[in-house]
Amino acid sequence: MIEVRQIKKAFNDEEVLRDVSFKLRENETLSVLGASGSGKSTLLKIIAGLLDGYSGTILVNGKAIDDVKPKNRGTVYIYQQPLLFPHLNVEQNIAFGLTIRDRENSFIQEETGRMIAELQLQGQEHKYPHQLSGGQQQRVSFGRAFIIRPEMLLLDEPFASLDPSTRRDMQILFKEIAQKEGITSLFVTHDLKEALITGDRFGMMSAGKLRVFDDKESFIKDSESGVQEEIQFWKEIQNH
Amino acid sequence: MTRKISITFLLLIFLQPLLVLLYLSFSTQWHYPSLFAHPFTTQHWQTLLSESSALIKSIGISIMISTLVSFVATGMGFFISRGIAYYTKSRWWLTSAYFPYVIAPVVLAVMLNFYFLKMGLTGTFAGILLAQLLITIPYSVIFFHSFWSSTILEREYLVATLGGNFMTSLRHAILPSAKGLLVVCYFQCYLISWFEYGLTQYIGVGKVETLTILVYRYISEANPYLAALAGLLLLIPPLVLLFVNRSFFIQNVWKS
Amino acid sequence: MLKNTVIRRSLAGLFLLLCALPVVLAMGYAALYSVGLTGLQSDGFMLQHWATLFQGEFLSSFLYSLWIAGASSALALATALAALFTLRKELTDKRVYRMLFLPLTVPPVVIGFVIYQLFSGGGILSRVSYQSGLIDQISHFPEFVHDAYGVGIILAHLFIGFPFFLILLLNLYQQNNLDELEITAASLGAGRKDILLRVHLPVLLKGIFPVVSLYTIFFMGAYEIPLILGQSSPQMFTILILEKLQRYSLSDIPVAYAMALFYAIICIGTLSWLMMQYKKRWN
Repeated sequence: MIEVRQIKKAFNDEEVLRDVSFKLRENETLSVLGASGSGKSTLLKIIAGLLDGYSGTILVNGKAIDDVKPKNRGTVYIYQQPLLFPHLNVEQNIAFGLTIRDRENSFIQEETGRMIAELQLQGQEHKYPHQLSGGQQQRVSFGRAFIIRPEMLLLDEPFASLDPSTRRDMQILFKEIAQKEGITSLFVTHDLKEALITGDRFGMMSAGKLRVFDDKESFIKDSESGVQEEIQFWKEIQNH
Repeated sequence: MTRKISITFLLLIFLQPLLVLLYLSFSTQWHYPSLFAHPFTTQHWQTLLSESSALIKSIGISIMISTLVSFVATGMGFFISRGIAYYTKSRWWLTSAYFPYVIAPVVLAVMLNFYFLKMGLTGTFAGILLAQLLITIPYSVIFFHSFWSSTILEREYLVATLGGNFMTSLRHAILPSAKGLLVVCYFQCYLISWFEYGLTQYIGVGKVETLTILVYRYISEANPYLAALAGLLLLIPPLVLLFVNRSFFIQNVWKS
Repeated sequence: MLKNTVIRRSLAGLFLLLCALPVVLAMGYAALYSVGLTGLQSDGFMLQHWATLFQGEFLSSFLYSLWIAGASSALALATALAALFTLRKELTDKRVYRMLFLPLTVPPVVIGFVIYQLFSGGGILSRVSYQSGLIDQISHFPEFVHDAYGVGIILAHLFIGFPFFLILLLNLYQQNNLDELEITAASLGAGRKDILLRVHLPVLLKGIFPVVSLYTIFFMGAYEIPLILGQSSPQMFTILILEKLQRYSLSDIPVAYAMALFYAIICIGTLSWLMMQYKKRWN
């Protein structure tokens, strides 16, 4: 279980995060919806240990990790750009986390093969990042993160640069694999549909404040989430 | 603190040629093992300013050669690279442009000397010009190759569909985008020519005494003071360029 | 269509005339002279001059040139990498970055001269050593110029190579988002050593390899610097070529042409190989 308590962060006297608190259960995805500048990325970076100078605390299974270095937190940050290692092929990129942990070759091969199959990347194993499409690169990026079973996955609008159809495929694929692998994640997006597809629980970030909804129904019913507006819009289109 | 010291140390290392040359150009009778206890003089600099000075003559020759070479190389390279970019498909065209540049200029001079002798160009100003063009034109072709992108081609097509001819295209579609690069290439070729020694010395057989030839002459004559002065004069154009056009070097790291 | 063909042919012709033809003519003449088919002592086709190339002073000269080129490139690259990893933040400051271009403004003949003035027996460092009591005679100062290992030449090449490689490495670091890759690797559990050996070095070395290869060729063909700082035997390849051509023995001339041609073939061969390895970069 991951708990974030009263995180406050300011940049040059401007408050970016105001008393942000939430809990994230194991094997759960919390999708946080918010516009640009709402503080979503800042929150992710603080949890990942990439930003300091904040007040509040972050707890993993009851233990505070504020002073723990990024590499020891067990969190993997996934950017919008896949950031694959350009000198490694698909197989080697996915296996990276296991290779540096000196796992046995047979185990690495087995796990990498399994991940490649789950990500539908068969036949691409020996290709290099520049030979892959945007969607394929992002799948490799996920595989690289999933394979080491991190405590938490922090996803910062990972599909924003993909075309709509690839984006939808990736949203569904992420949901399937996250559930199958039992990954705990915080998924940040500005796309309402994406939030609904990927999340188990939902949050809304606005002007540095986070509201968390315990279930889909309360999120959908909330007037500020934008779901009701969207439903209304399509109804009007249909009636005309 | 250690980092600041390291950066300062690096800066001193980079400046040491300038400092050494300056020191020597004002020195004379610098016998071992004295460091500072020897006469300092401005006589070498005064020699520079006298009319019969070999230095002044060399500066003039170097400036003339470099100016002409860079002008011709930039212009020809610009249009030749257009031809290669637009009308050829094989990358061997561009690769072969590297050949004269990658073989050491002095080795190229050695192998071409026979032809220069036959054409009566050895030991002549024209011979040096031609020899230096043989390395600067290919450089210029390589330099401009990436300029001729599909964007420029599309602009040329646009001018053509609007009724313009090649000169119109040059004036309105090509030169506005190419101006900066033309200036940079000119200066790059200028420096290649300005610094050139081996090829110039071999083809010129010592008769065309550019500034680099003069530096070496003073070194062989064991006159480090005049060699230092000539060396300082060699440094002036590139240092001025570095100071005046800060982005000149910085943006062309890959091209060089 | 006709106009395009005319333009295409003219420009291609001009390119061949000015860029390709001189190289073909040069290598052609050198080839003919080196096998005895032309020149002052042409006695008909023979390969003995080529056989001489791979023995005695010629072989020593070639190996010496390879040593100088390899050592110069390796040292320049090693020091540039060291500077990159220890001083990267300071080097991205615009004023500091600009200073890296200072050595590129110095011509090789001047670098050779300055290294001589600094490191020769009667040079500045020797005088400083004497004045500070480290040595009591000029002959006690170590040999850095005209020496067997080409230390002075290597130092001169280091002066050129180090800043140039460092500039390229800084650009490669930025272009390949190595900062972000470092964060990604760290979040996957990589320590500092892993990040250096598995991420930074492979990416940087792969990116800089073509330039380092080209510079190794340039160092091998160096002329001005070895002319001032090199020893009398073995000499750098280019110095030996010119010496053989300009001295009195006519029988050395065909061998000099064979050497020149041999060197040209190595350069062109290496370049062509590089081009085939790095197709995308060259396009």
